[in-house]
Amino acid sequence: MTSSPQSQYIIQSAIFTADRLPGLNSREPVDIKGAIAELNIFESVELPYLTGTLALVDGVMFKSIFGIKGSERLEIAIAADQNAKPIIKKFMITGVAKNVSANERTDVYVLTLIEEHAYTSDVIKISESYTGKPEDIILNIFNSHLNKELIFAAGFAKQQRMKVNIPYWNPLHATEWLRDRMAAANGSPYFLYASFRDDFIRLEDLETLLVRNAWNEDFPYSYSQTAHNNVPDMVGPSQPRADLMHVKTFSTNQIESTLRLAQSGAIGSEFKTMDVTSASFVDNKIHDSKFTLDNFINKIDTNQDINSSVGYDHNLKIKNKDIGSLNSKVFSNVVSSSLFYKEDGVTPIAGYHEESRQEALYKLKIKSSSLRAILINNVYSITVPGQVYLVEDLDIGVGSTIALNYASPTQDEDILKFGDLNIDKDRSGKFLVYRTRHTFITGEGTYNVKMDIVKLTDKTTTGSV
Amino acid sequence: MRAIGSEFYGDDCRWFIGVVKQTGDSRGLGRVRVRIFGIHNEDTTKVKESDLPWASVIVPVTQGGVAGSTQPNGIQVGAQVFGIFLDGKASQSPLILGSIPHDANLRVIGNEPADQFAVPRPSTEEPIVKPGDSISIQDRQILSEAGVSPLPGIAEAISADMADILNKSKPKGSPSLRVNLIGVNRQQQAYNYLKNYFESRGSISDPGACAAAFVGNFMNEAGKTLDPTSRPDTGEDALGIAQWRTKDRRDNLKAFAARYNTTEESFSLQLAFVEWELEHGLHVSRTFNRLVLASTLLEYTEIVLACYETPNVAIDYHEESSFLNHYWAVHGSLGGIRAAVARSSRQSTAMLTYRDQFNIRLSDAKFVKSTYGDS
Repeated sequence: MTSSPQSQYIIQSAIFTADRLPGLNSREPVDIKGAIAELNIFESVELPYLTGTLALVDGVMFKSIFGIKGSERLEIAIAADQNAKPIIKKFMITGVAKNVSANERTDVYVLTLIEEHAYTSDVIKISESYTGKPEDIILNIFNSHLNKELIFAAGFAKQQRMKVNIPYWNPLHATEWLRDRMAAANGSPYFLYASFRDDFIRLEDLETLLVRNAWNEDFPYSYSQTAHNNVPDMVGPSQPRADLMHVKTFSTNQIESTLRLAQSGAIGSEFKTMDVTSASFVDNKIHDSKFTLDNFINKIDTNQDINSSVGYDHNLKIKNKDIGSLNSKVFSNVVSSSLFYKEDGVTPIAGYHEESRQEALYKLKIKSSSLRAILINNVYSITVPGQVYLVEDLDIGVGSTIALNYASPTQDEDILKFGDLNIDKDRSGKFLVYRTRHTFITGEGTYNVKMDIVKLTDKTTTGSV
Repeated sequence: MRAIGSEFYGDDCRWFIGVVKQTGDSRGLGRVRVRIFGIHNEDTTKVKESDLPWASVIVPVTQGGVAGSTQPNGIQVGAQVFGIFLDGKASQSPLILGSIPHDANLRVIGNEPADQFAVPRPSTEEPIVKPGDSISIQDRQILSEAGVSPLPGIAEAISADMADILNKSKPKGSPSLRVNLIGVNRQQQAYNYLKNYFESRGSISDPGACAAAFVGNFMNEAGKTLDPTSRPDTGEDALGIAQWRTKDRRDNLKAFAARYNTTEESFSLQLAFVEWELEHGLHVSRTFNRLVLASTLLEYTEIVLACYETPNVAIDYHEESSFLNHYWAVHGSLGGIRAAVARSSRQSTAMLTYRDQFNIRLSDAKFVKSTYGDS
């Protein structure tokens, strides 16, 4: 079951350990790489940890000897070849999802995997008080409870210092709750995510992700057999081979739904907040002309060629009114301000909901939620060859941006004659990698990456910011 | 979780029970600081009292309900309250709907960790109230129900008849003693136990400092680990976290242990006995009533040392009773022992030793307060 010589990857090692088997851990490591039939690793810009599945072909009574209790550790080293620096991922095995008998002597077990800090998070609850900006508190929780390093690569959130009492939640739930509270000065929402390419947790806002150049802007992914054939072979991370830039599959599912956006409250919603401490009332309206994704991107990068393929149709009129001026949802919240004071008992500290009294800050939070919803309204799924994702020091994967050209079918003889691309603008441009599934299949020696991507701009290149 | 959840806030309702930890809302809205069961960690190093939210309190419609019409709501520190969170599962914004009456005398609840000395043994029926003891509030209630009405005031002592009534009114058999020990070590457990007790009494202005003063003193009586089996090397019959020594106190401790069918070397029992001593007999007037008048850690430490502990060095200094009279008459009103030493360079060795003892205990009390209490 080891990778063939033509394999697109190599699993250098897959070390199995368990706390209940201390002798096993201290002796010769148990390397199960030879028994791996398929490995899937999932990453998402919404999740600060990786998950995975592993199909294990057991012909040596491995499970009978060592057992699988959902408490074992697995350290997997994957590289482009035997001599390359591997990507090392440490997982906990959380259980056996499926067991199939291949024959009388061989069983196939599908094991579920999760990164160790997520496993840790699931088995502890915290009830602690924290004071600081949301990003500082998130950093603190990761350091103190999950022993994970966090990279904060974005600009600071607009939110002020606050005091929060975490009410017996697990650490990752608490950090997600705090992340949800954050918005940059321009309303940009934040993402807290882990990636396949390294061991860090990243906290970045949408603007930071958007202004990144597509890593392949000079060699866009192409969904066209013609384009594939016309591009000369290239090698190396700076010039990937043409076949590596060929999109194998392209699909969409439930996209372009303005109605769904309205139903979710991302457009045409009203947000009312009552503060019982001051009996004050705040009413905010989400209106598309100000809060759409395309307007947001235009403000970040005026050099972009935005059309209606990003975001949604904000010219839609219902009963002669812009859809954004209607009330698809009316959200109402009741909060208390001035809940906390400093040790002197006089100087107030903001609480989690405090900005409900500060209209500008509250609008940012709503704008942030709206942008997030609109962003994932149009998700495309593509499958691409994976080798380039094992190249050392290439900062790609979730959170990165890619360039993609989608060639439409055409009957234009000139286009057919010269092999030019008939670019479909709606489905081409610069995309944010939102989710990925890295699939390693031992028998075929293949490594593919299935990506969910969201459209940012029509152009594949980025102008000055 | 999304900050913006259900469309209508009432769909996210979540109720709670908590204990009021502080009153005196600086905004004059009658709000109280509340520690909420199942939300705020009982470990005060994780959620300090100053971290607790100021919860709004529902008032009757007989109040105006408009700004400026707020009247005192009467809720006190130690009150057990019921309420809802205005922000649902985020649980940051509590609103108190009312309080739940409770009997503090039944407060000995929870599970005591296995205590190797808590060996069950036959109960003795020694009386727990004796003639000459001071009358507690609970005693007054029992006597009143029995048709005996002691005069108001704490100075009145229990007569033989009263002692008989009170002892007969006590539960027969061997009630179980279950003390809730919260904390990672005995210092923290003692601090939390005593702090809760002082909070429940309502008349101690700084329950945390008062508890720290006791624990700081105990650390110098029974060692840093508050060893409940600790006995002096001198061979004296003293025992436990407070090194109870005089015959009366040793007898009371034995009777108290017998009543709960456990050994006097139990840490939990000794903590409960501290509370009992402050509620019954000599230490009501000698210690507790002085604690009520104090407000700082220094004052609490001095009262615990001089009145509750009264270490040997004090006896060496004077007879115990004359020491106390002299101490409070001469030094207590003039800044305590440290000021007394500072006022004159001609102090007895015993006085200087006593001053040193005080400084050490104050230092330990500060440590306890800063480590386990509010900063």
